[in-house]
Amino acid sequence: MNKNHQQMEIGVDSFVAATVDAAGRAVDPARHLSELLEAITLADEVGLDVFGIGEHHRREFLDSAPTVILAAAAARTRRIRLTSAVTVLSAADPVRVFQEFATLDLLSNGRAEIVAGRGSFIEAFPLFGLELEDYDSLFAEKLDLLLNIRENTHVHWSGKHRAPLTGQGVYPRPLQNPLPVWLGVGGTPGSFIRAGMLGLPLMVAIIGGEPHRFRPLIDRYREAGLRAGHSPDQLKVGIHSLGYVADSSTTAEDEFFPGYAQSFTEIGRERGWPPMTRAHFDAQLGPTGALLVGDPETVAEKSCA
Amino acid sequence: MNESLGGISRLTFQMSVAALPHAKMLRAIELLGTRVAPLVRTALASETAAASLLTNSHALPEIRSFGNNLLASMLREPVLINAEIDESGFQ
Repeated sequence: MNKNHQQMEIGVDSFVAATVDAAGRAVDPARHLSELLEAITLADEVGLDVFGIGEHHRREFLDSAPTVILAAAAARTRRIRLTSAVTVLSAADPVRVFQEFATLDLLSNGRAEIVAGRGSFIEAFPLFGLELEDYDSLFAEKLDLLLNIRENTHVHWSGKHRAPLTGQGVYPRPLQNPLPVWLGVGGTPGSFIRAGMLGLPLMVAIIGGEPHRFRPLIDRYREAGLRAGHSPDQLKVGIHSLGYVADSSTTAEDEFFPGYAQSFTEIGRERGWPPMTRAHFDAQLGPTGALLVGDPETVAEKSCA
Repeated sequence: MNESLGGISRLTFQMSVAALPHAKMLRAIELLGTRVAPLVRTALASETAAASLLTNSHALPEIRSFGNNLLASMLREPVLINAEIDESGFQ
């Protein structure tokens, strides 16, 4: 039931792709970023609640520095919340992450949010001199430090992967106290339980299959959170999904499929997935499938179901 | 998403995966804000109203019954299809 969460915020998460569009045409990076800012401005004007920018460190993307993009968006918008989707915290210095988002929070008059995650690409590890074998301990430790900085201006902290902090101040302090920090997760059960125990809002990426099959994991998040003494209101769940809306469902499906299939086939080549077919796409358009693609009525109905 | 996952506070649409032309992306954002979001808000508000009618012991029986029917009409039986949960998460 939805008694405690009658409000559902609706927004857009964007990964900023580089190089070529679906038709194989080269995309001018400067123009693409300018179009992205136009899209965020429109999202603000039409009353959407949140806009998120991904973080990637590879050739296909322009979004290795999401807070810079979000800062440009902050200057052009008034109401929409601005978030990462996700900040690859394992590969970043939490002091720097906090400074950047605190600055964004001041620039945007209190609209900044962090979704911290491990990311599902691994390029950031060698790029920043980190060992992939430390994947889990890096994230746990850096999340701990980030939350410590959020709580305390002067930080006393020591860990394995970073020089200790012995009471130095971390500035500026954000307008929002606390600055919202969500935990971005895929399908790893331990990540859901960690978010619950920490009492952090949970952002779940559901990019395929059937969303209702995530219910047991979400229940474990809520159980872990309540057991740790957090209030139900604190244990918020957000869903990052793949979707697209057009004037008719047929148009939405036909326009979305080619680029979607190309993206998944390319990623699949690295991860050992089979090529994306129209049949697999169509299966996910059904009432219990993950894709929120269609006309406004179809998409709204599926969002509520 | 909302009902089957036990109530969600935020839903984001990643449209960039399909590398759509800019004009189509703008139209999609416009439809999301001006059509989808109001439909979702209205549906969730009536669901909440129905739920409060159900739990209000002072409500007249016929009103409780109305609430019950309204709520029942919003619950959908899940239809299982064979697909695996995608473990990859955020790309």
